[in-house]
Amino acid sequence: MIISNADRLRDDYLARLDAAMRDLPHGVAAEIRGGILEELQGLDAAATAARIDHLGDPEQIAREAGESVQFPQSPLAHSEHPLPTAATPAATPQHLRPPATSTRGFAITAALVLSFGGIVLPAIGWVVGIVLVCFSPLWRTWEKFVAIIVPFVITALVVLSGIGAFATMGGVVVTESSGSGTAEVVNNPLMPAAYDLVWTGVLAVGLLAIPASGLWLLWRMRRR
Amino acid sequence: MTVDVGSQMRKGVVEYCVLGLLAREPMYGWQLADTLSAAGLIGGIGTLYPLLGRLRDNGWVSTFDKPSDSGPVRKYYRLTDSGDAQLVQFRAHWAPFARVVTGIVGEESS
Repeated sequence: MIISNADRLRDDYLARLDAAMRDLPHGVAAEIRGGILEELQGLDAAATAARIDHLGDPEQIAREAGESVQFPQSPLAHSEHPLPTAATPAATPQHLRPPATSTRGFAITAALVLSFGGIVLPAIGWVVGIVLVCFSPLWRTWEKFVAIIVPFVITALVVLSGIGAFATMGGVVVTESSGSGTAEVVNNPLMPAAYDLVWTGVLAVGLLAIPASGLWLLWRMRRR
Repeated sequence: MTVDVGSQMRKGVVEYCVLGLLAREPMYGWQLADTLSAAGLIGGIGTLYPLLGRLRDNGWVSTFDKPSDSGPVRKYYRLTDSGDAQLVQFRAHWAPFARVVTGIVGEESS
């Protein structure tokens, strides 16, 4: 197989770029790599060299991206209010590390505790997960709100729809045969009782909706 | 100590400048990087992609693939309805904001 000079230049540059971006979030690194690869494909060796020269040092690209990820350019990206402000600190010294709660590791831990903490320590584990999620700045307020509230909404829907079904199907009308002159409604022993439906709802939340909400948070932070 | 005023202002508006560019036409990464770098709004391509990622996470831009004339398929970015609404909101704030600031700090006398 013949490898052209253009291919060699491109592969060498991308290898240096990959090495420089090894500490960046995977999503960001993949976006940058994909964007640069687009620009280097289909060029001859001279054009490839010129484009690489224009792109600059991979270390510099990775450094800029790292600063942009840790300290987003605009505070507005996470705000509902688009009024421009100059309140963002200027160049943040490299040696300043973000607080532990703003790391991806903390956020992943928080999401996993939210998902499965309640299974290990019923109720308490879930509350701890909520607190940890609230501390992480990697999610927006509405994402945290959705992850915490939606399981309750699902529970309510499950319980209400179950009770509704129970109310329409659960009783059997017994026609009057005793001579008392009144018909009475008795529960069908083959249908679940109301408390069964409540427990089903609670279990649905504990085993499905809450873990799903934590996993959804993990999915939301994949490029952050 | 002198603060880089331009850098601080860019940080506040660059994302809306991207929305403004995409409101004209869908653009691919290199095209955006070239335009924004030439205007002095970003340092380079390393700054652009995290920014685009945030815009996409906010639902303000979406992407689609389109083959280029020279062969490779490029990922294009375009404004969503939500991004358009955000841009409209920004425009509504920007002119009064700039007027107020100019009124307070004054203009460079020639």
